[in-house]
Amino acid sequence: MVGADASEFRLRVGEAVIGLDCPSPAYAASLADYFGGATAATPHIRLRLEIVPHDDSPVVPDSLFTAKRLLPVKAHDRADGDPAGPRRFAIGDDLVTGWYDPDARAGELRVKCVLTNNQLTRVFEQLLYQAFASATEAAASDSFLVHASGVIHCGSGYLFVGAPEAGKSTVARLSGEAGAMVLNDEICLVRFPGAQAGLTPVLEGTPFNGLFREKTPGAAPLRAVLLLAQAPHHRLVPVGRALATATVAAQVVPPVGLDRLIDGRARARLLECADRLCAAVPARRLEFLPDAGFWREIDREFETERDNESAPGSGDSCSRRKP
Amino acid sequence: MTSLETVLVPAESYCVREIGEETIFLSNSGDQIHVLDEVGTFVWKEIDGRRPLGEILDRICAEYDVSRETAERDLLRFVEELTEMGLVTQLANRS
Repeated sequence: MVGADASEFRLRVGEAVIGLDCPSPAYAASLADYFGGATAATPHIRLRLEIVPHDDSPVVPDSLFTAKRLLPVKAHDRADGDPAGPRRFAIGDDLVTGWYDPDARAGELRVKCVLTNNQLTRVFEQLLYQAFASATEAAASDSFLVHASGVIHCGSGYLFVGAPEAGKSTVARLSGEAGAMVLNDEICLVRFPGAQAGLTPVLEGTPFNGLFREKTPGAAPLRAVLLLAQAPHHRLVPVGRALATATVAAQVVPPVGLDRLIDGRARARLLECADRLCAAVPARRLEFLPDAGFWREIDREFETERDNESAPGSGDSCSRRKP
Repeated sequence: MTSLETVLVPAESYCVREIGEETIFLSNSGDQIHVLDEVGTFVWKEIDGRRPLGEILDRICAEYDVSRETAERDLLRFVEELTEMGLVTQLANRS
């Protein structure tokens, strides 16, 4: 379902809603199709999206974060040290230009059409990661994105973290075959509910697409962080908190809004996200074979009981965890 | 060449966070992360751009049950690793 204006596409990522004013209803509908639907919720930020035809062949950078530059402004500083009003930015060879005003919670994105072709959709999504950071700030949501597979098993969330090719999609596929609910195999969301320390973080899916397309929207209390390591066996190995934090930090999507760069503050925030996560839930290195047997190790470690012995295809049956 | 007169300066190209008794370093480029264990963190905290390695060695020997010879060998090796990782730079030896 799209918003009141047929050209508007509203994307919900966790608690944050991004409103994209698209060039046409057809484009908005294509985004809704790609992201598995739209939300009717009121956007926290609104961005006008313009797709720009071009004759040149701009180089598409791997990172729309590091290739971004803020353009000079003539404005007095805000209390937090940031210039007031809209911040103009450009990415790469003007592949993307635009502006964002955090006070107005509005902005504009002018994107060269090369970035919207199918092969580059994952690069284009990096722009939405930044929009998410801006929307999260507007929504006052304590959450962040992480490159990871997320699975709900027996009512608990499990976050599988690893570098590219570590096996995130494989774990997602095997988990799905075993009957678990797969949230996402590429980008997951971790949210800290409320302001109290000690509350269990929540694992949520996101609309962003990896290789595993049968993802299911959902959320669950996060039970463990599992650091992937391919091996000729299934085994869970304790990991020190600093090493777990460092491993997770390497996969946290930089919490950088559209009007910001990856600076010292962003890096400190990135480390803080990883640190809070690994302080709140246990982390283990999951050494695994390419079969779903690793769930037996996870069940054994985290005391999850099952009604029936689970095997691939027999369903994700389990009883309540012991108190 | 690293010696006990060498003074180390912490690099500014990393974001640093202490986790318990260990320390994590995230490079400004975002592509490097290093973790120092408890002893490494102890040494790291002694690096201030003024104190020569000899003084740091004295503090290590006062803090840990280790022979000075072993501590000196391990410290110099550790400093080489920190330098290779880009976490410190070495000032010209203090004469």
